[in-house]
Amino acid sequence: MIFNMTLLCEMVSIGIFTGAMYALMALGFSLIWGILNLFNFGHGGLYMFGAYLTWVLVSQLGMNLILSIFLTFIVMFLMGMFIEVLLIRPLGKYRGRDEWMMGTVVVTLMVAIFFEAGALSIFGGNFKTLPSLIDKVLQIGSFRLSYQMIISFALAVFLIWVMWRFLKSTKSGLAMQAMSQENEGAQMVGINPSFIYILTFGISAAFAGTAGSLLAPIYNIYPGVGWQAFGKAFVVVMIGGLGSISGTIYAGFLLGIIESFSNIFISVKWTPVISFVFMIFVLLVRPKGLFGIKEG
Amino acid sequence: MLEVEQVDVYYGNLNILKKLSFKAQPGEITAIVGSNGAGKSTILKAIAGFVPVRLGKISFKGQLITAKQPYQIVDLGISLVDEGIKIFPYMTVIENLMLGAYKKSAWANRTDSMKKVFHLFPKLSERSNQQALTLSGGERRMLGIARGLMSQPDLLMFDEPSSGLAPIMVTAMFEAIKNINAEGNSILIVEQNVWESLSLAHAGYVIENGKNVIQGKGEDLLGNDEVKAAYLKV
Repeated sequence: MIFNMTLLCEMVSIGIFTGAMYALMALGFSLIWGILNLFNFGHGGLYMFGAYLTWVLVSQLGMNLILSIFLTFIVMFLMGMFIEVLLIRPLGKYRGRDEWMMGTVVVTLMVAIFFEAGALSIFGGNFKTLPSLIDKVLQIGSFRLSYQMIISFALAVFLIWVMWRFLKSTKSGLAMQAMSQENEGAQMVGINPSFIYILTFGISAAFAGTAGSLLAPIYNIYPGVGWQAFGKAFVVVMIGGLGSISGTIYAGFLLGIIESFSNIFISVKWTPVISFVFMIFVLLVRPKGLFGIKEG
Repeated sequence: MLEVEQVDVYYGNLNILKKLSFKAQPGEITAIVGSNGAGKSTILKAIAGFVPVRLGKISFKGQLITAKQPYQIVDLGISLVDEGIKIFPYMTVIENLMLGAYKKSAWANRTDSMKKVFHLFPKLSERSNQQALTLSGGERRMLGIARGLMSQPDLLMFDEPSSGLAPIMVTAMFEAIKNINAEGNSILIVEQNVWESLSLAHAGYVIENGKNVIQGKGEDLLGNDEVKAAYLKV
């Protein structure tokens, strides 16, 4: 393997791009786990729904890509809220007991399977693709990077930044953090848990769906695509640590870069293995994840 | 102001509170005392909405609050203070206090409330940007009380404020409670420390095994022979 600057730059750029996507995917998953104590098996399904929704808007309804992504965000936010109220809220009385774990796993898994089956029957199993907004490629010397990736990257970073500001500087954002750290204490200061749960689910679904949306013009869309996203989200949260938003973000980028290096220097086939091995290594050294707070 | 009438609380099949009744009047310090296991913490948890009431009524300012949720009870003006266990560990002292003023009517006044609270607990203002988990046990307790005050409650409830404290701290704690009451806050405390609480209280209720035993003015109860024999080792 001949080392060259162009290759390194491309590797790092793709790594950072992928990292931003991973962070975006993992944030929602992390929030639900930390705040609702829920392992959302349906997270990948929401990612997939966002991807297909954007595909429908752009290729079937002729909508502009950026507008479609925006609309997808809103629709997914509402969908998240609906799922919480209709499917998760009824389980609320089991919170803190064994039935909670069982019940939520079953329900979220059902959502995932339902979405996947639905996508399969509506769209079929063939890969769908979306045209890029800008078909051109940025070229500096022999270094090439598609403009579509840059656009998706910029939007992802923007969303992550907005989420960060929301959590740290708004009343509801602080309330979400409080619920995640000390549920009963949060209720003791007058925070309404139902409101926070609905908000969290809405945000999580919106971010998952938008991640699918942003990647729609770059990768293939198929009914099972959500499981990959789900797997990545899980690994990122485990590496970054539960309960830490900054941890999730750093871990996303870290994983993106590691995978990028693995793809080039080892082989694409080995990358999933490398990711898992890295995750296990991190957990052995720091069981709570790199920045983790809560127990997994 | 607060009326607890014939309240029964169960944990599973275990009857913790049996027809418990008492009142807390505005502006006063009301103390509920008894030995360990008498069900004291359960009383406050039931009032705050964390534990269900099987029989009986709890009303506050004329409104029935028995089946309400914890956040609704905070909105109505009752604030629960524990030993500082339920503070937000990874948030700073300031963030903890700000969240104390979460309820709508208190949020607008949060800057003023924070000033008042820092005046009352100077130690906390020294640590204002530190993460709550770095605070010592005593400081966490202060933070818990301060956070409770941030909601500008009509009734502040203390759950065993002296538990686990060294004797000097116990005196300081009751001194602080006295001052908070002097500022016009109504206080309900539940305590094992019978002597200090009854010395401070305008109204006292002695409970045993979840049941009312005797009640009266704090100072009167201190002079009561039964109370003396059972609790004051006289």
